[in-house]
Amino acid sequence: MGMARFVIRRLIIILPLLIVLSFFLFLCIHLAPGDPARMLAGPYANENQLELVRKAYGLDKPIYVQYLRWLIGWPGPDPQYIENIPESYREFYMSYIPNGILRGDLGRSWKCESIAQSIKEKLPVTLELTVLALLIAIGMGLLLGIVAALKRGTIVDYLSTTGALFGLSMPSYWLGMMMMLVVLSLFGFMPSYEYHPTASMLLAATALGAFHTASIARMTRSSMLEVMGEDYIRTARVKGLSERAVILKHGLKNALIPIITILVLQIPWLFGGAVVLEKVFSIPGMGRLMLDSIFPHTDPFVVMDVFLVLVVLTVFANLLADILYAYVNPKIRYE
Amino acid sequence: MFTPLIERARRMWASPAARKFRRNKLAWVGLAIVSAVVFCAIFADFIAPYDPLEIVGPKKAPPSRQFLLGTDDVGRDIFSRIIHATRLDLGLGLALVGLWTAIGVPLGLIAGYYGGKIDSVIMRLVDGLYAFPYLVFAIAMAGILGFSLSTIVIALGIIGWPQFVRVVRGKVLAVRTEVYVESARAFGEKDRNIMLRYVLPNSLAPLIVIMTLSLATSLIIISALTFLLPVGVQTQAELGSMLSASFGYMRDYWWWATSVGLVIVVIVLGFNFLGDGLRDALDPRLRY
Amino acid sequence: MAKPLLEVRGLKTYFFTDEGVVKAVDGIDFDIQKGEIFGLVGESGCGKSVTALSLLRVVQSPPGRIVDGRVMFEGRDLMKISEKEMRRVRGAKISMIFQDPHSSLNPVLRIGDQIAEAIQLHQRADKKEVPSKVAEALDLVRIPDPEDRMYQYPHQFSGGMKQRAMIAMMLSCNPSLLIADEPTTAVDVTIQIQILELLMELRRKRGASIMLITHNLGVIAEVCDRVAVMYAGNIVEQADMASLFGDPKHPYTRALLGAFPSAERKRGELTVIPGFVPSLVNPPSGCKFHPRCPYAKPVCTEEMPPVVEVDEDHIVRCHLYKGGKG
Repeated sequence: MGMARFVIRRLIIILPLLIVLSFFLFLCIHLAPGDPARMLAGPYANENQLELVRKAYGLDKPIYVQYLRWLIGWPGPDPQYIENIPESYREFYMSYIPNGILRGDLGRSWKCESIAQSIKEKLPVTLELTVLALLIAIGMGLLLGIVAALKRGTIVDYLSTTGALFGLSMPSYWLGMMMMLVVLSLFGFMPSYEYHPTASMLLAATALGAFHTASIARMTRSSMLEVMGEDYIRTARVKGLSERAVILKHGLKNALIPIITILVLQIPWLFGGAVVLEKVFSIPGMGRLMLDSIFPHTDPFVVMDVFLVLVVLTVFANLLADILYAYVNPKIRYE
Repeated sequence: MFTPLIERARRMWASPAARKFRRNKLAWVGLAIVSAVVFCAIFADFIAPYDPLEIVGPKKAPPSRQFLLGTDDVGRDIFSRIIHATRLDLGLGLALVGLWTAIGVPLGLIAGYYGGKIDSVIMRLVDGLYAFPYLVFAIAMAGILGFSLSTIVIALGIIGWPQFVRVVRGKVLAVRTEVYVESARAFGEKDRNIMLRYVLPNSLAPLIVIMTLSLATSLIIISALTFLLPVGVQTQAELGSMLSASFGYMRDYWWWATSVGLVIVVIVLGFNFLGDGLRDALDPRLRY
Repeated sequence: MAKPLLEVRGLKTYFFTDEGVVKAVDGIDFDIQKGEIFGLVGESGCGKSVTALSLLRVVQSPPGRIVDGRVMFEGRDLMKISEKEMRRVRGAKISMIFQDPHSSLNPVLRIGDQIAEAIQLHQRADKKEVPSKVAEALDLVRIPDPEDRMYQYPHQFSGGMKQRAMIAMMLSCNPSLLIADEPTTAVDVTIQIQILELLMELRRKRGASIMLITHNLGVIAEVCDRVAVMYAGNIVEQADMASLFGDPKHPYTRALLGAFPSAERKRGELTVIPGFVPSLVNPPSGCKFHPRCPYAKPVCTEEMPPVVEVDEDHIVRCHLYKGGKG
C-alpha cells in the first residue's frame, strides 16, 4: 500500500539526519571552550574523578570512537583499566561507562541522576501541555476559519482575519506573560505551576496554541472558501442535502487536505514553544529539564538526550499527521 | 545609462501586481511600520533620548515625561533601550534570513533546475529537516557551545532554511519550462549562466515574499531564545533579553514587560502585513 | 394538450456584481411535458445553465438572485415554497447532472457513499437495503461490477464512467424531471452516444422528462422532442423538432442552423454569425440580437419583441412576425 512506503520513505531520511545532528552536537561538546570532561563530570569533581570520566567516555580516543561508544556502547573502555582503580572510585567509574543510547541507556547527569528517569518524570507534563495546546489550536482554528469563510465579507470575517494576523505576530511567551498579568490583576494570584497547576497549564496551553490557532484559522478560511466554490458542492446541494451536511461532510472534508498539511508544519514549533512557556509558568517539563542542564552548568548529555527525545516525538507526531492526511485524501492512498 | 532602469521601475510600478499592492491598506500599514523600524534602527543614536547602557535615573521608575516608558531595574531608560534594541534585533533577523537565503536559494535553484535524482535527494533532505524543532536545537547547541548571539543565529541558520528551498524550487520548476530558458539552452548556454541570468531573476517574486515573512518569524524565534538564555542580559539592549529581565518584576512593575512585548508584536505585525500584501500581489498561491 | 409537468413563467435571474447587474435570465417562459425530452440550446453565456440552476434554486447567492418568476411543478410554485420543502424536491423530484463529471463528484468520498446519500435522504430505505439499491443504480447506467465499483473513489473511474455514475446518483430516487446541463460536452464522441442512448432509455423505461441543455445542435437533433432557443437571457424561439429544423423563424435560429456542419449539406460555406455575444450587463436596447441580425429594422433597436405564436406549438420573439404571419 502506498502509505507504508510513504512512512518508510520518511524514516529513511530522518534516521540519518538524527545521526548527523547528534554527531554535530557531540562535536560541539569538543568545540566548546573548556574541558569536556569537566562538563561531563560536573564542577565539583576532583582531578582523579575527571581522569576516570575521561577514560569512561574515551575522551582521549578519536571522535568517532567516542561517538560510537555513546551511540551503541561499543567499543567499550579497556577492561584491564578497572583493575588499577582504587576500590572507592570503582563504582563511580562504572556508572559513567555508556551502554549506548540506541540500547536505551540515556546516561546520567553530572549529579549522578539517571537521565532516563528525569525524562520519564518530565515528559508527560510537556506532552500534556503540547497536546492541550494542539487541541485548542485545532478546535478554535477550525471553528474560526469555517465561520469566517461562511460569513465572508461581514464584520465577523474581518475581525477573525485581523485577529489571526495578531495571533501570528505575538510571541507566545509574551502572551503567556500578559495572561499572567491579567489573572494577577483580576484574581490576585500569580498562576505558576507550584501553586495552581490546572490554571497555569490551561493558560500556558492557550498561550502556546494562539499562534497555531491563527495559522490554522487562516488556512481553514481560505481552504473552505476555495472548496465551497467547487462543482461538487453544487452537486451536493442539488441532491437536496441540508446546508450543514454540505458544509461539513462535503466541504470540510475536502478543505481539510491543505489544513492538515499546515498542521504538520506546526508540530515542530509546538515543542519549541512549550519549552519557553514552561519557563514562564514554571511548569516542570522537558523545558525545565533542558534549561536546568544549561544553567548554571552545562550538562551536555542531558541536553542532547532531551533534544533527541523531542525530535523523535516530533517525527512521530509528523508521521501520525501524515497518516491522517492519507486518510483524508484518498488519492494518496492508491498511488 | 539609467534610463532602462527607470523604465523598468516605471513598468513595475504600473504592473497589476503593484496596483494590487497599492489597494491593500494593511500592506501600507505594514510598509509604514517596517519603514519606521528601519528608521529607528539606523538613526537610533539620534532618536533615543538617553544612552541605552547608562544608568540615567532611579530604578524602576514609572513612565513620565522624563522617561517615556520608565526605567528598568538598574535605572536605564526603557524607551531608549527599545529604540536601540531595534537595531540589534533587526540586524539579527536580517542575518538569520540572510543565512537561510544563502543556503536555501542555491539548493532550490539546483533542485528545481536539474530535477531528477538531485531533486529527490534535496527534497528528501528538506522533508526530513522540516520535522526538526529548531528552537530546541538552538537551545541545545547554545547550551553546549556557550550562549552568544552568534551561536544562536548560526544554530537557527543551519536548520531553518527548508521552506526557502521549497519556495524557490517551486518557482524554478515553473520558470524552467518557459520559452526563453528553452531557447537559451538551445543556444548552448551554460547551465550556470542560464540559472543566474534567466531563471533566478524571474523566480524572485516568491522569494521576496518568503524573506519578508521569515523576517517576522525570525524575530519571534530570536527573541524567544534570548528570553530563555542569558545572552548579555545586563548590558546589550535586545528585546528578548529585556523581556526576560522584566519578567521577574512583573507583579509590581508591569509596564516594562508590556511595552517591550508590544514593540515586538508591532514589529512582527508590520512585517507580516507587508509580507501578506506582497504575497497577495505577487503570488497568492503561496499561502502556507 | 395535457397539463405540463413544469411551467415556467417570467423567470428572471440577475447577478449583482461590482461591474454592474448581469441579467443572465431576463424573463423566459416555457413548459415541459411529462415524458418529453426538452432541449434548451444557445451559445455559451446565453443563460441556459443559470436557468437550470434557477429552477432548483441553487444559484450562487451572494452575487446571484432570482428576482422574478413562477415555476409551477406538481401544483406548487417552486419559487414560493420554503427551503426545507425545496430540499425535498431536489434530488427526489427534480434532479440535475452537470457538464464536467471530473469536478462534479466529491473526490474524497466513495462513489457508493455519494449515491447512498441521495437514497438515504429521499427514500425511507432500510440501512441494509441501501448497498443493493446503490448497486442497482450503478447497474442501471451499465457500470460493470457495481458491487465492487461502488467502494471506489471518483479518481478511479474513467470520464465516461464518472458521468454515468453521476446520472446513477441523480436518478436513484426516480425524479420526474432530470435536467442535463451539457452532459456530452466534456466527454468524447463514443461516450457521448452512450450517454444520449442512456437518457433516451431512461425516458422510455421510467417516463421521466428530460431537460437537455446544450450548445450542440447535433445532440438536440438526436434526442429532443421540443426545443427552445435562448439568446442573451431570453428565449427567442420555441417549437417542436420538425418545425424548428424544418421552418426556423428567428434569424438567430436560422443562423445557428446554417452554422451547423452537417453531412447533408455537401457544399457551401458555414455561415458565421457576425459580431460577439452581447454583454449581459449592458445589453443592446430593444431586441438583443439586433446588432448581429441581417434583418434588423428600426423598431428592433427600440422595443423587445413580444412573444408571437406563428404556428401550433411554435413561438417566436421577433419583430419580423406579427401574430400568425410569417
